[in-house]
Amino acid sequence: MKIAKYHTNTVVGYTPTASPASCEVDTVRWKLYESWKEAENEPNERYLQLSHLLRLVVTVAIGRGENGHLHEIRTLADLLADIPNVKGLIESLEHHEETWGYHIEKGSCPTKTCDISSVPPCRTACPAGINIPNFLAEIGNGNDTEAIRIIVRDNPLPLVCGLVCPAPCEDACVRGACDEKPVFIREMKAVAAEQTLITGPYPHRDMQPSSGKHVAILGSGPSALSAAGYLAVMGHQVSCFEKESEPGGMLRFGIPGYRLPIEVLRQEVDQIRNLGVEFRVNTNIEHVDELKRDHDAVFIAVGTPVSRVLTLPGVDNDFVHGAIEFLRAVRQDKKLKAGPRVIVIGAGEVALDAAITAKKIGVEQVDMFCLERREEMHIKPEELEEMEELGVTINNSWSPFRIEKEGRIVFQHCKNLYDEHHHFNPDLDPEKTCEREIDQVVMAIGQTTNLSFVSDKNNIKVERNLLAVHPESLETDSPGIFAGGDAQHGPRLVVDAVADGKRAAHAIDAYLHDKDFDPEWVRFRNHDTIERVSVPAGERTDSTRVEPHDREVKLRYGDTPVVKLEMPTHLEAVKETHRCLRCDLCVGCGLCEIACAEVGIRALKMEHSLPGRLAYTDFRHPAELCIGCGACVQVCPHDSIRLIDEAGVRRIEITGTVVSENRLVKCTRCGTEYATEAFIFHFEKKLPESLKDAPARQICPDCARKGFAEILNAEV
Amino acid sequence: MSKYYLSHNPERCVACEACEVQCKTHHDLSPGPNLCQIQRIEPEDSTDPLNQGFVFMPCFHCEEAACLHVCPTGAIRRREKDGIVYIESALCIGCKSCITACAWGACQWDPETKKAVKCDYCMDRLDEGLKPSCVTVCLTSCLDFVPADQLPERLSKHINQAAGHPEVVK
Repeated sequence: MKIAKYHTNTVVGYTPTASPASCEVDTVRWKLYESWKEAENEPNERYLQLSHLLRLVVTVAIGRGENGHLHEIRTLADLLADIPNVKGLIESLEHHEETWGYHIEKGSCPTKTCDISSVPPCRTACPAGINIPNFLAEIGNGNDTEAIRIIVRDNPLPLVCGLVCPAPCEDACVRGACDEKPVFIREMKAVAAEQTLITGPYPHRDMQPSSGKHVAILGSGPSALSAAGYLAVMGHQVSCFEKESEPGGMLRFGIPGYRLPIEVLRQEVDQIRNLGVEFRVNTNIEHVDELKRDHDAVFIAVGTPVSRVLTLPGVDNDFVHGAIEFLRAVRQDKKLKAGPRVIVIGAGEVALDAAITAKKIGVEQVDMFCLERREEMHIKPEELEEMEELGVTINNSWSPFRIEKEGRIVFQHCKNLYDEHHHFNPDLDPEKTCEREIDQVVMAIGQTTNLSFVSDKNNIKVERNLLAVHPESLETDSPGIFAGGDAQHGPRLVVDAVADGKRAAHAIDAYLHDKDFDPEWVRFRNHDTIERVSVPAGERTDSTRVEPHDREVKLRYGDTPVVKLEMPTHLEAVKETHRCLRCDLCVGCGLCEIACAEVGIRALKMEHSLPGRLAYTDFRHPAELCIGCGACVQVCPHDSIRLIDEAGVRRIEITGTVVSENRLVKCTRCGTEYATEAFIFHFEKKLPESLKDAPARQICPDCARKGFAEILNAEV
Repeated sequence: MSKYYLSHNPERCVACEACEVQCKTHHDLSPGPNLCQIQRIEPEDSTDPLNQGFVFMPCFHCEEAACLHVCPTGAIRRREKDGIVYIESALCIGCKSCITACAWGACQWDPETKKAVKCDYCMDRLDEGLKPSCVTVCLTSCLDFVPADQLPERLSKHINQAAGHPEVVK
């Protein structure tokens, strides 16, 4: 039996750049780190030696090693050779000398495993590549408009994506990896957008003067809107051709109103319109050549507005609908005859939308059937629960077999969806069946597109009913015609489409200026680092994720639009930014933690987070122990820890949070505050009696040199 | 105590600072740290500018070296063969213990490498049979590199007790 492939929303999760097994130096480093953690109660001398050793190894691993390092590593390792992981280090130095040498000579890793990047995991995970820690910091600093300025550089639809994005960024959040409560990121964009729109339009950087070029965009969905916005900023005249009555594509006619109210979408479309983009609605384009004739470039972004249907007996009955067509009809306010018994087939977000929409338009009995087991479904567990609370019944492990024209559907039981090789290969049991009387069937098993506007003669290739393009520039084989979004790669997230639009805009701009397209333009263009938010240690440590979802589900799906309930209040949003660990500043290498132990203080304690990354989650711990020496500041490769001497106090600040305060000592000669009391007290313990309480310790190092010179001069 | 001593004859010194420049060049240092430094002592009678005193301040490689005691990472070491106290840069974490502990202000901060640096009598040059770089460029030959037993008593009494002179605080 042939089963059409189920549609799944591809969530681009965090792909760890540092897989622990791929670089010899990295493997040894993390094993040694484990041994160091375990050695906390070892005799001090030994623990210190291991600390020195580990710091040297980490320094080499992150590409900051110097020529003397390997010799020192060998010397220290020989003293600690009874520790198994140190023995492993010695063997590694012997057998992989060239790998260790490469790290020191080139300052990087041959497999790129150890190369620490200050691009934070959330940003890597975001298909649009939004600079998340920076815009959160701007919200935290009370600059919502600046936050939007950062967001719209990579995603011109902050309000829409703030409501509908499944937030792959949150899956990659380092804070989430530590305490299972990632920073609440998604709706923050919408909060900042709302605040910005109170005072004016979204701020765009570098509005270019008119280029005199005219670009046509086929479609007006997320990728079209994104491309249109960026092209307009680049100075080109843009027209979007939409066959429906209003722009927005799937945002307008696919995503249900309770998730994305029309008013919200219109606000965001207006932002694109205000940049000078023209929308021609109710316009059907017969052939793409029409557009190419009258325009300098064309971007095809028609999406996948057609549901797939299963090839099984009875699908041609008029009570069998595609989910997309069903959702569109509801969004077009067509009076539908639906119910009282509707079955939705599918296990993804579209099936979820269709089932809830059916319930909302008054269908009495809504059943969801899918091949997948509950845990295999492509819907978040909390969304499944919400759906069930609304009265939708979920029937797992059933494969539709036959639809009868009298209004009956027959399912076969699916024992296993995947074979032993993890390939999709449903194992159906013909003996075990289930029959249901129905009024409608809604199929949410995937989407496809209609490409009747292209033909062979203009060289645009179509593969598996999707437009084939150059993977970097998104240009088709026909020069000047570009394609992106779902029509090019199949159904994905809104934010993927937005990313395509941005890429296409840059590629089209290059084409119009007769330049080569550089893929670097669309990835992480802005590296500017926004000032850290100063957050008290206790708050940063303890504050829990704001949960605006924590409410009666009935409210969300009630008759009045309740989008407000979806979003945190502005105050909550500001508070939530305080939880961000600023992984754009702190790369989690652990050098500060080790250096602190080397000084003999052990005030800093990091935790494992994502593979290859450590993180601070307890910002209170250092307060009692820190002596304010500042070694952590000096060893940090990314300026994420700062030392601030002010008003007689030295503060150590980690990514915006002051973790310790120590009183400074004043030089009795010149008045300079040169060290903390606690620091001098700490190292004086190591001095022999004859050197303790020395007069020289009351003055700063410069005065010590000067003062001694004066004495010598007097004695001559 | 090192078995060497950098002697300075203030009578001949003109404070041209060639020694400081050559020292920085040899150690490849950024503008901040001065491993050796000519200290200018203003005369008590300010109407007599020619009476300005010049004192050459390198590291004295003390017998009881405070820097060596306080260094938490073992980066500060004493060479067995000649007693030179030096910093193994690979091990330094920039805690500034040595800088704060030294009674003569000899340990210096290099903001570029974020590590402490100090005079090592150019021990790489010594190993090649050469004199420290400051000595070789001294225009008036007021600097010399000599065995420590030629150290004047007034200096040795200070250096062998590296707690700092009580007078220095004033």
